[in-house]
Amino acid sequence: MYLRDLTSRITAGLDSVGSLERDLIRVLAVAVTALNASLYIADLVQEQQLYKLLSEYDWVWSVAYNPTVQHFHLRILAALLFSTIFIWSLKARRLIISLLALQIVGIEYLKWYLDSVSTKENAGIERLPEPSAAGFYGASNWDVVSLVIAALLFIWHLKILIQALRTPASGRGNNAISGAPEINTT
Amino acid sequence: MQYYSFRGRGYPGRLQSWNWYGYSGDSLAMGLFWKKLVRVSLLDGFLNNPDCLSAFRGVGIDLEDLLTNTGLVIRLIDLAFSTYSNNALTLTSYGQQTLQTAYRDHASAAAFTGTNFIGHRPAVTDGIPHIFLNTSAFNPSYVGGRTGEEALRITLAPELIHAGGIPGDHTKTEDLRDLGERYTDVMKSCAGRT
Repeated sequence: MYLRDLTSRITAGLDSVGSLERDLIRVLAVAVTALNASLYIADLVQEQQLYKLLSEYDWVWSVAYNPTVQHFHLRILAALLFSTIFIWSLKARRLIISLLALQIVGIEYLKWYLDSVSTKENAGIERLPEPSAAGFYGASNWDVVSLVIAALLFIWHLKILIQALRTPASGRGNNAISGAPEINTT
Repeated sequence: MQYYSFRGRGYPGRLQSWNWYGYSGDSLAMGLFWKKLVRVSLLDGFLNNPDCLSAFRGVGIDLEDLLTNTGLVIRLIDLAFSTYSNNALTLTSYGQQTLQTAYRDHASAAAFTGTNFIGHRPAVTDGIPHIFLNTSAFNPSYVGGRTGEEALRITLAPELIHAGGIPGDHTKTEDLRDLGERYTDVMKSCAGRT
Protein backbone atom coordinates (compact mmCIF):
# COMPACT_ATOMS: atom_id res chain seq x y z
CA MET A 1 0.00 0.00 0.00
CA TYR A 2 2.79 2.35 1.05
CA LEU A 3 4.86 1.44 -2.00
CA ARG A 4 1.93 2.20 -4.28
CA ASP A 5 1.49 5.53 -2.56
CA LEU A 6 5.19 6.30 -2.83
CA THR A 7 5.20 5.29 -6.48
CA SER A 8 2.33 7.62 -7.26
CA ARG A 9 4.11 10.45 -5.45
CA ILE A 10 7.33 9.81 -7.40
CA THR A 11 5.31 9.69 -10.61
CA ALA A 12 3.86 13.06 -9.73
CA GLY A 13 7.37 14.33 -9.03
CA LEU A 14 8.65 12.99 -12.34
CA ASP A 15 5.69 14.53 -14.19
CA SER A 16 6.73 17.91 -12.88
CA VAL A 17 10.23 17.52 -14.33
CA GLY A 18 10.71 19.70 -17.40
CA SER A 19 11.61 18.17 -20.75
CA LEU A 20 15.03 19.90 -20.75
CA GLU A 21 15.87 18.38 -17.36
CA ARG A 22 14.69 14.95 -18.53
CA ASP A 23 16.90 15.15 -21.60
CA LEU A 24 19.85 16.36 -19.55
CA ILE A 25 19.53 13.43 -17.12
CA ARG A 26 19.36 10.95 -20.00
CA VAL A 27 22.36 12.52 -21.73
CA LEU A 28 24.40 12.48 -18.50
CA ALA A 29 23.46 8.85 -17.81
CA VAL A 30 24.45 7.75 -21.32
CA ALA A 31 27.61 9.88 -21.28
CA VAL A 32 28.89 8.51 -17.97
CA THR A 33 28.14 4.94 -19.06
CA ALA A 34 29.92 5.47 -22.38
CA LEU A 35 32.87 7.06 -20.55
CA ASN A 36 33.22 4.04 -18.26
CA ALA A 37 32.90 1.67 -21.19
CA SER A 38 35.81 3.54 -22.80
CA LEU A 39 37.84 3.34 -19.59
CA TYR A 40 37.24 -0.39 -19.35
CA ILE A 41 38.16 -0.95 -22.99
CA ALA A 42 41.30 1.14 -22.44
CA ASP A 43 42.21 -1.18 -19.53
CA LEU A 44 41.86 -4.23 -21.77
CA VAL A 45 43.97 -2.61 -24.49
CA GLN A 46 46.61 -1.63 -21.95
CA GLU A 47 46.76 -5.18 -20.64
CA GLN A 48 47.38 -6.49 -24.14
CA GLN A 49 49.99 -3.78 -24.76
CA LEU A 50 51.79 -4.81 -21.59
CA TYR A 51 52.11 -8.40 -22.77
CA LYS A 52 53.20 -7.20 -26.21
CA LEU A 53 55.81 -4.96 -24.59
CA LEU A 54 56.94 -7.86 -22.47
CA SER A 55 57.53 -10.02 -25.54
CA GLU A 56 59.81 -7.27 -26.86
CA TYR A 57 61.90 -7.13 -23.68
CA ASP A 58 64.48 -9.83 -24.09
CA TRP A 59 65.50 -9.73 -20.44
CA VAL A 60 62.13 -9.86 -18.69
CA TRP A 61 61.01 -13.33 -17.66
CA SER A 62 57.61 -12.39 -16.47
CA VAL A 63 55.21 -9.72 -15.41
CA ALA A 64 52.51 -10.01 -12.77
CA TYR A 65 49.39 -8.15 -13.84
CA ASN A 66 47.11 -6.72 -11.16
CA PRO A 67 43.59 -6.42 -12.61
CA THR A 68 42.08 -4.57 -9.62
CA VAL A 69 41.50 -1.25 -11.43
CA GLN A 70 40.10 -3.11 -14.43
CA HIS A 71 37.64 -4.90 -12.15
CA PHE A 72 36.56 -1.65 -10.48
CA HIS A 73 35.90 -0.19 -13.94
CA LEU A 74 33.89 -3.26 -14.96
CA ARG A 75 31.70 -3.26 -11.84
CA ILE A 76 31.09 0.51 -12.09
CA LEU A 77 30.25 0.13 -15.78
CA ALA A 78 27.77 -2.68 -15.08
CA ALA A 79 26.00 -0.66 -12.36
CA LEU A 80 25.89 2.48 -14.53
CA LEU A 81 24.54 0.53 -17.48
CA PHE A 82 21.81 -0.87 -15.26
CA SER A 83 21.00 2.59 -13.93
CA THR A 84 20.90 4.13 -17.42
CA ILE A 85 18.55 1.45 -18.74
CA PHE A 86 16.16 1.95 -15.85
CA ILE A 87 16.26 5.73 -15.77
CA TRP A 88 15.65 6.06 -19.50
CA SER A 89 11.87 5.78 -19.27
CA LEU A 90 11.67 7.99 -16.14
CA LYS A 91 9.10 5.76 -14.46
CA ALA A 92 8.71 5.74 -10.71
CA ARG A 93 9.64 2.13 -9.86
CA ARG A 94 12.47 2.15 -12.36
CA LEU A 95 13.79 5.30 -10.72
CA ILE A 96 14.09 3.41 -7.43
CA ILE A 97 15.99 0.57 -9.14
CA SER A 98 18.21 3.11 -10.87
CA LEU A 99 18.89 4.75 -7.50
CA LEU A 100 19.96 1.38 -6.06
CA ALA A 101 22.30 0.84 -9.03
CA LEU A 102 23.84 4.28 -8.46
CA GLN A 103 24.32 3.35 -4.81
CA ILE A 104 26.37 0.38 -5.99
CA VAL A 105 28.46 2.78 -8.11
CA GLY A 106 29.08 4.86 -4.99
CA ILE A 107 30.03 1.77 -2.98
CA GLU A 108 32.49 0.72 -5.70
CA TYR A 109 34.16 4.15 -5.68
CA LEU A 110 34.34 4.01 -1.88
CA LYS A 111 35.91 0.54 -2.03
CA TRP A 112 38.39 1.78 -4.63
CA TYR A 113 39.36 4.74 -2.44
CA LEU A 114 39.79 2.58 0.69
CA ASP A 115 41.74 0.06 -1.35
CA SER A 116 44.05 2.86 -2.51
CA VAL A 117 44.58 4.01 1.08
CA SER A 118 45.44 0.43 2.12
CA THR A 119 47.79 0.03 -0.83
CA LYS A 120 49.59 3.21 0.15
CA GLU A 121 49.94 2.04 3.75
CA ASN A 122 51.03 -1.46 2.74
CA ALA A 123 53.67 -0.10 0.37
CA GLY A 124 54.92 2.31 3.04
CA ILE A 125 54.71 5.31 0.73
CA GLU A 126 53.40 8.79 1.42
CA ARG A 127 51.95 9.44 -2.01
CA LEU A 128 50.54 7.10 -4.61
CA PRO A 129 52.39 7.05 -7.93
CA GLU A 130 50.75 8.53 -11.01
CA PRO A 131 48.15 7.96 -12.28
CA SER A 132 46.18 8.32 -9.05
CA ALA A 133 43.65 11.11 -9.60
CA ALA A 134 41.84 12.23 -6.43
CA GLY A 135 43.56 9.53 -4.39
CA PHE A 136 42.23 6.60 -6.45
CA TYR A 137 45.10 4.29 -7.36
CA GLY A 138 45.41 3.83 -11.11
CA ALA A 139 42.66 6.40 -11.80
CA SER A 140 42.85 9.06 -14.48
CA ASN A 141 41.10 12.45 -14.48
CA TRP A 142 38.33 10.81 -16.54
CA ASP A 143 37.53 8.63 -13.53
CA VAL A 144 37.02 11.78 -11.48
CA VAL A 145 34.72 13.16 -14.20
CA SER A 146 32.78 9.90 -14.08
CA LEU A 147 32.52 10.06 -10.29
CA VAL A 148 31.22 13.64 -10.41
CA ILE A 149 28.58 12.83 -13.05
CA ALA A 150 27.49 9.70 -11.17
CA ALA A 151 27.22 11.79 -7.99
CA LEU A 152 25.08 14.39 -9.82
CA LEU A 153 22.78 11.65 -11.10
CA PHE A 154 22.52 10.20 -7.60
CA ILE A 155 21.68 13.61 -6.13
CA TRP A 156 19.02 14.14 -8.80
CA HIS A 157 17.45 10.75 -7.99
CA LEU A 158 17.50 11.62 -4.30
CA LYS A 159 15.93 15.01 -4.98
CA ILE A 160 12.98 13.38 -6.76
CA LEU A 161 12.64 10.80 -3.99
CA ILE A 162 12.81 13.35 -1.16
CA GLN A 163 10.32 15.60 -2.95
CA ALA A 164 7.96 12.64 -3.20
CA LEU A 165 8.37 11.79 0.48
CA ARG A 166 7.74 15.39 1.48
CA THR A 167 4.63 15.67 -0.59
CA PRO A 168 1.63 16.01 1.77
CA ALA A 169 -0.34 12.83 2.18
CA SER A 170 -3.11 14.39 0.13
CA GLY A 171 -2.18 11.95 -2.57
CA ARG A 172 -3.33 9.11 -0.34
CA GLY A 173 -6.70 10.77 0.05
CA ASN A 174 -6.88 12.00 -3.49
CA ASN A 175 -10.46 11.04 -3.66
CA ALA A 176 -11.11 13.04 -6.76
CA ILE A 177 -8.76 10.71 -8.57
CA SER A 178 -9.89 7.52 -6.91
CA GLY A 179 -13.48 8.49 -7.43
CA ALA A 180 -14.54 7.99 -3.80
CA PRO A 181 -17.26 10.34 -2.58
CA GLU A 182 -16.22 13.13 -0.22
CA ILE A 183 -17.95 13.12 3.15
CA ASN A 184 -19.50 16.31 4.18
CA THR A 185 -19.19 16.62 7.96
CA THR A 186 -21.05 19.88 8.30
CA MET B 1 60.24 8.01 -4.69
CA GLN B 2 61.66 5.10 -2.74
CA TYR B 3 65.11 3.90 -3.52
CA TYR B 4 65.28 0.98 -1.14
CA SER B 5 66.29 -2.36 -2.37
CA PHE B 6 67.07 -5.68 -0.88
CA ARG B 7 69.99 -7.56 -2.22
CA GLY B 8 71.65 -10.55 -0.87
CA ARG B 9 73.68 -13.62 -0.89
CA GLY B 10 74.09 -15.31 2.46
CA TYR B 11 72.76 -17.85 4.87
CA PRO B 12 69.00 -17.78 5.23
CA GLY B 13 69.38 -17.64 8.99
CA ARG B 14 71.34 -14.45 8.57
CA LEU B 15 69.04 -12.94 6.02
CA GLN B 16 68.29 -9.94 8.15
CA SER B 17 71.94 -8.98 8.20
CA TRP B 18 72.18 -8.99 4.42
CA ASN B 19 73.12 -5.83 2.65
CA TRP B 20 70.62 -3.05 2.83
CA TYR B 21 70.88 -0.53 0.09
CA GLY B 22 69.49 2.75 1.26
CA TYR B 23 70.08 5.98 -0.55
CA SER B 24 70.16 9.52 0.74
CA GLY B 25 66.75 11.04 1.25
CA ASP B 26 65.10 7.81 2.37
CA SER B 27 63.12 7.98 5.54
CA LEU B 28 63.73 5.75 8.53
CA ALA B 29 60.14 4.56 8.25
CA MET B 30 60.78 3.37 4.71
CA GLY B 31 63.86 1.46 5.84
CA LEU B 32 61.91 -0.21 8.63
CA PHE B 33 59.10 -1.01 6.23
CA TRP B 34 61.48 -2.61 3.78
CA LYS B 35 62.98 -4.77 6.52
CA LYS B 36 59.49 -5.81 7.53
CA LEU B 37 58.77 -6.73 3.92
CA VAL B 38 61.74 -9.05 3.76
CA ARG B 39 61.13 -10.53 7.20
CA VAL B 40 57.46 -11.18 6.69
CA SER B 41 57.49 -12.18 3.07
CA LEU B 42 60.79 -13.90 2.53
CA LEU B 43 61.53 -15.30 5.97
CA ASP B 44 58.12 -16.20 7.37
CA GLY B 45 56.43 -16.86 4.07
CA PHE B 46 59.17 -18.71 2.24
CA LEU B 47 62.46 -19.61 3.91
CA ASN B 48 61.17 -20.51 7.38
CA ASN B 49 58.29 -22.43 5.89
CA PRO B 50 59.26 -26.10 5.23
CA ASP B 51 56.11 -26.71 3.17
CA CYS B 52 57.00 -23.81 0.94
CA LEU B 53 60.60 -24.95 0.47
CA SER B 54 59.30 -28.40 -0.38
CA ALA B 55 56.80 -26.96 -2.89
CA PHE B 56 59.62 -25.03 -4.56
CA ARG B 57 61.67 -28.23 -4.77
CA GLY B 58 58.61 -29.69 -6.50
CA VAL B 59 59.05 -27.24 -9.38
CA GLY B 60 62.79 -27.95 -9.43
CA ILE B 61 64.01 -24.91 -7.50
CA ASP B 62 66.16 -24.93 -4.39
CA LEU B 63 64.99 -21.66 -2.90
CA GLU B 64 67.68 -21.66 -0.20
CA ASP B 65 70.32 -22.12 -2.87
CA LEU B 66 68.78 -19.34 -4.97
CA LEU B 67 69.00 -16.92 -2.09
CA THR B 68 72.31 -18.07 -0.63
CA ASN B 69 74.41 -18.84 -3.70
CA THR B 70 72.85 -17.32 -6.80
CA GLY B 71 71.64 -14.19 -5.05
CA LEU B 72 68.60 -12.07 -5.74
CA VAL B 73 67.74 -8.40 -5.99
CA ILE B 74 64.27 -7.19 -4.99
CA ARG B 75 63.48 -3.56 -5.62
CA LEU B 76 60.68 -1.13 -5.90
CA ILE B 77 60.27 -0.24 -9.55
CA ASP B 78 60.48 3.50 -8.79
CA LEU B 79 64.19 2.91 -8.61
CA ALA B 80 64.27 2.87 -12.40
CA PHE B 81 63.64 6.62 -12.32
CA SER B 82 66.50 7.49 -10.00
CA THR B 83 69.54 9.39 -11.17
CA TYR B 84 72.04 7.10 -9.48
CA SER B 85 74.74 5.54 -11.58
CA ASN B 86 73.95 2.38 -13.52
CA ASN B 87 76.31 0.41 -11.29
CA ALA B 88 74.60 1.61 -8.13
CA LEU B 89 71.26 0.65 -9.62
CA THR B 90 72.65 -2.64 -11.01
CA LEU B 91 70.72 -1.74 -14.18
CA THR B 92 72.17 -0.99 -17.58
CA SER B 93 70.81 1.97 -19.54
CA TYR B 94 68.74 -0.48 -21.57
CA GLY B 95 67.33 -2.12 -18.43
CA GLN B 96 66.53 1.26 -16.90
CA GLN B 97 64.88 2.55 -20.06
CA THR B 98 62.69 -0.51 -20.58
CA LEU B 99 61.59 -0.51 -16.95
CA GLN B 100 60.71 3.18 -17.13
CA THR B 101 58.51 2.58 -20.18
CA ALA B 102 56.79 -0.37 -18.55
CA TYR B 103 56.25 1.49 -15.29
CA ARG B 104 55.07 4.76 -16.81
CA ASP B 105 52.42 3.17 -19.01
CA HIS B 106 51.34 0.23 -16.90
CA ALA B 107 50.44 0.99 -13.31
CA SER B 108 48.68 -2.37 -13.16
CA ALA B 109 51.89 -4.33 -13.66
CA ALA B 110 52.51 -5.56 -10.12
CA ALA B 111 55.97 -7.04 -10.64
CA PHE B 112 58.63 -7.73 -13.25
CA THR B 113 61.27 -10.43 -13.00
CA GLY B 114 64.28 -10.69 -15.25
CA THR B 115 67.99 -10.96 -15.74
CA ASN B 116 70.53 -11.11 -18.56
CA PHE B 117 70.31 -13.83 -21.16
CA ILE B 118 73.24 -14.97 -23.27
CA GLY B 119 73.07 -13.45 -26.72
CA HIS B 120 70.71 -10.65 -25.67
CA ARG B 121 71.31 -7.07 -24.61
CA PRO B 122 72.32 -7.00 -20.94
CA ALA B 123 69.79 -5.31 -18.66
CA VAL B 124 71.41 -5.78 -15.25
CA THR B 125 75.03 -5.11 -14.36
CA ASP B 126 75.57 -7.97 -11.90
CA GLY B 127 73.92 -10.80 -13.85
CA ILE B 128 71.75 -12.05 -10.99
CA PRO B 129 67.94 -12.26 -11.07
CA HIS B 130 66.05 -9.05 -10.31
CA ILE B 131 62.48 -8.68 -9.09
CA PHE B 132 60.97 -5.20 -9.48
CA LEU B 133 57.87 -4.55 -7.42
CA ASN B 134 55.29 -1.95 -8.35
CA THR B 135 52.98 -0.26 -5.84
CA SER B 136 50.13 -2.46 -7.05
CA ALA B 137 51.99 -5.48 -5.61
CA PHE B 138 50.87 -4.20 -2.21
CA ASN B 139 47.23 -3.93 -3.17
CA PRO B 140 45.04 -5.90 -0.74
CA SER B 141 42.35 -6.38 -3.39
CA TYR B 142 44.80 -8.09 -5.69
CA VAL B 143 43.70 -11.46 -4.40
CA GLY B 144 40.29 -10.55 -3.07
CA GLY B 145 40.51 -8.35 -0.02
CA ARG B 146 43.39 -9.96 1.82
CA THR B 147 46.09 -8.06 3.70
CA GLY B 148 48.94 -6.33 1.92
CA GLU B 149 51.46 -8.84 3.25
CA GLU B 150 49.50 -11.74 1.83
CA ALA B 151 49.10 -9.90 -1.46
CA LEU B 152 52.83 -9.36 -1.52
CA ARG B 153 53.53 -13.05 -0.86
CA ILE B 154 51.15 -13.93 -3.67
CA THR B 155 53.03 -11.54 -5.94
CA LEU B 156 56.45 -12.80 -4.86
CA ALA B 157 55.75 -16.56 -5.07
CA PRO B 158 55.50 -16.78 -8.88
CA GLU B 159 58.26 -14.20 -9.31
CA LEU B 160 60.59 -16.34 -7.20
CA ILE B 161 59.77 -19.28 -9.48
CA HIS B 162 60.80 -17.14 -12.46
CA ALA B 163 63.90 -15.98 -10.59
CA GLY B 164 64.72 -19.65 -10.07
CA GLY B 165 64.99 -20.00 -13.84
CA ILE B 166 61.52 -20.92 -15.09
CA PRO B 167 60.29 -18.48 -17.76
CA GLY B 168 56.60 -17.71 -18.03
CA ASP B 169 54.21 -18.20 -20.88
CA HIS B 170 53.84 -14.58 -22.01
CA THR B 171 50.52 -15.24 -23.65
CA LYS B 172 48.75 -15.99 -20.37
CA THR B 173 47.82 -13.79 -17.43
CA GLU B 174 48.85 -16.52 -15.00
CA ASP B 175 51.94 -17.45 -16.92
CA LEU B 176 52.93 -20.44 -14.77
CA ARG B 177 49.65 -22.32 -15.00
CA ASP B 178 51.37 -24.88 -17.25
CA LEU B 179 53.18 -26.17 -14.15
CA GLY B 180 49.81 -27.49 -13.03
CA GLU B 181 49.55 -28.85 -9.51
CA ARG B 182 53.17 -28.03 -8.74
CA TYR B 183 52.39 -24.33 -9.24
CA THR B 184 49.22 -24.63 -7.18
CA ASP B 185 51.31 -26.24 -4.42
CA VAL B 186 53.71 -23.29 -4.33
CA MET B 187 50.88 -20.77 -4.22
CA LYS B 188 49.11 -22.71 -1.48
CA SER B 189 52.14 -23.46 0.68
CA CYS B 190 53.95 -20.13 0.33
CA ALA B 191 51.18 -17.63 -0.25
CA GLY B 192 48.15 -19.34 1.29
CA ARG B 193 46.29 -19.11 -1.98
CA THR B 194 44.08 -22.07 -2.72
